[in-house]
Amino acid sequence: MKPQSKTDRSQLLSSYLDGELDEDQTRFVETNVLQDPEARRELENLRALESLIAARMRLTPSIGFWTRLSTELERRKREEENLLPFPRKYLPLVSLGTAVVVLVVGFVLFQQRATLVDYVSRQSERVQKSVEDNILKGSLMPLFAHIDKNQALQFAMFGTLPLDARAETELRVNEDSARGYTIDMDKKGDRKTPTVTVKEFVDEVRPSHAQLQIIDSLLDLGRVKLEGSVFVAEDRAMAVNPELSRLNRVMLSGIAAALEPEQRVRFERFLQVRQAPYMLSGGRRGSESSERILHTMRLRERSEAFLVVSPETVVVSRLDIDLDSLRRHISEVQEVQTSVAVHMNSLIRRMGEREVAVRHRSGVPIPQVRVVGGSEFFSIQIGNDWEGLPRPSEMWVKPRMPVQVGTRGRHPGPSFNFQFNGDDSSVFFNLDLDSLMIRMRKEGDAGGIEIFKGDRRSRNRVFQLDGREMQPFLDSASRGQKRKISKLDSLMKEMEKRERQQERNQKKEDSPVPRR
Amino acid sequence: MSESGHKKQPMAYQTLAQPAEVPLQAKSDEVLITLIHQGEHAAFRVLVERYQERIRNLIYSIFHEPGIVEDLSQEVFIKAYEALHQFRFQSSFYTWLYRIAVNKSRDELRKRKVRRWFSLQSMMESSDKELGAKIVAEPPDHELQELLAAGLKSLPDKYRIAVTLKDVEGFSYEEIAEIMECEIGTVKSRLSRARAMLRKILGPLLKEAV
Repeated sequence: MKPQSKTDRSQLLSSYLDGELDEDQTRFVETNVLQDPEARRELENLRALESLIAARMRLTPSIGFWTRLSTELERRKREEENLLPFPRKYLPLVSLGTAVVVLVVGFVLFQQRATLVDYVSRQSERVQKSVEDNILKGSLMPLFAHIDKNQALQFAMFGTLPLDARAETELRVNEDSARGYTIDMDKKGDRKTPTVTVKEFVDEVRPSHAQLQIIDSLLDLGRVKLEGSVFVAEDRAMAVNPELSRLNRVMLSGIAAALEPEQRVRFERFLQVRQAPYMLSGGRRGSESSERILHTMRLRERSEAFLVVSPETVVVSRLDIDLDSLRRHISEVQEVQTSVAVHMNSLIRRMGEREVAVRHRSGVPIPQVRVVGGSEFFSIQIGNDWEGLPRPSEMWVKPRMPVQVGTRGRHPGPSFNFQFNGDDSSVFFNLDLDSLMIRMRKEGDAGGIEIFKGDRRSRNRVFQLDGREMQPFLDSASRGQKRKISKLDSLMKEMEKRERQQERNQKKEDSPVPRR
Repeated sequence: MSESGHKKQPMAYQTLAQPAEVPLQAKSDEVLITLIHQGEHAAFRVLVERYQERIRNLIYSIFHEPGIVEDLSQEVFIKAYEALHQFRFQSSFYTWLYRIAVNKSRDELRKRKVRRWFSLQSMMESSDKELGAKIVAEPPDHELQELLAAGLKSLPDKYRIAVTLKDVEGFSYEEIAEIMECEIGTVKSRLSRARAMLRKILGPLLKEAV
């Protein structure tokens, strides 16, 4: 046996001194101490230390320790008994009794849980109602009292409505498919909102008389809905129907559904020229029936859920509003409209740079809603999860938010730049023929030359084609297959021919009657 | 009752068979505890008187502050009195009592670490209380004892308690492990390290003593 280190030796010596080693270890230490002067010296030091500690200063025996201790014990006992309203000996019995009572009460509560939940829910609703009543105290006035059809069409196309007579502030509805919808109210500033009239629409899109009647009804229903969507209270609170966030798209879908494919092409151009945030996506589908179109726009009989916004809180509440009586009231008192604008501006100012979360009601699922205020604006963000709101059809209208798709494969550089909106009904694409030409030249493939024949007109132009037709070309582009790309060239030329034909027909229709 | 056919009785019941006229002071710890369990609270006084000096000296050895000894000793016995009904004779009473004393001392040391600012005030107070707890059996080399006290105080708490339990109270490694609630190997290393540290601090003085 051999100690490994100085520490081991110290530990062995320490244990040896304490008599805690077995026979072998003791023999080893004794031999080691005899042979190693350093170990001997250490052991002597340890012995000296031990005797020094053993001969330490000791305290004098304490006189009256028990007296003090028993007094303290008595005092604590008395204190403890004073805390109990009954003799201490009954403590186990009382504890048992308490446990039994708790168990019985718990069991009864568990049995009656449905009634209890119902009671708590009713109480909570009562509190909620009182809060809501308090928020919307005073007269409630519609923010948009006299909307005409032009404004309704403007809202459908751009999601904007002026908040005052001079159109310095406006309400704007935006859609972000990932996060939901926002209703912004702010100063317009330098931002220019294109204006549009029903006459311009009729002139450019040229709907038939029947179609125009449907669109007219649609705009009329939209107008009524808009007027019943935003209310302002005298105490600077506001009630917004969340349906407003989707209303513009629903209206635009309705208009698109009422049109025939060729009219939709014109309507798409109409929207594109005015940089509307939506584009049409109906492909070659025919128009829908008027019942179906107006179905989603139908007015509801029952009360509707409103977002009640005040600078302090936001609650979701069902409101029964008699819009007709309100409208009569407004038409009788001319100053009301001015005061609505004042209250609205005041609310925007008071919302100043704060974020108000929607109050949570127990048992009621709260949709994702956030109200964010700035110095001169506030924004209501409504998530996609709000149940009961009309779901805008993807069939006719889509947000103009193109997704960039490039080719993959052997040529990392951009040769094609497709823009499409992600479904198989139609594909919008931008064909960059310059890039394609460079690519073909590099490969030295004469087969690709054909594609340049029509490139002067088609270069970087946007075409609308059926998605099923386009898919093989998209696939071939990603795989670098030239044969199908050359077919694409033919298709493009066909499209151009069709467009030229349409333009000629248009000119014929527009030209005055030839002289005899 | 035949002896062979029955389980071995616990120590407490065996010793209860002692004659009734034996004074309480002469009874073993276990008998006294059994009597306390049976409601004879006078037996607790005997236990207190039996161990009060050892506990007081243990606490003094840990803190080297006479001022805290009375209060902390009292707390140790109060705790023991409150917990006696849980004592199940699985260890000896004095080991159990020492464990309470060590735990109380550790609690106090922990509190002091939290409120270090208090230490100065505590020292001032303790100097007043020293009058009530005079030191007797003053060794011939008083200066050396003071240096030893300072050396012990400079040790980490766990080392100081281990050395005190071994060299002052004379507990075995097994008992120290039980009191400090650790392994025997840990006790060994703590003692060895504590002694090495003390040798380093008191080096020259130890040479003289040798």
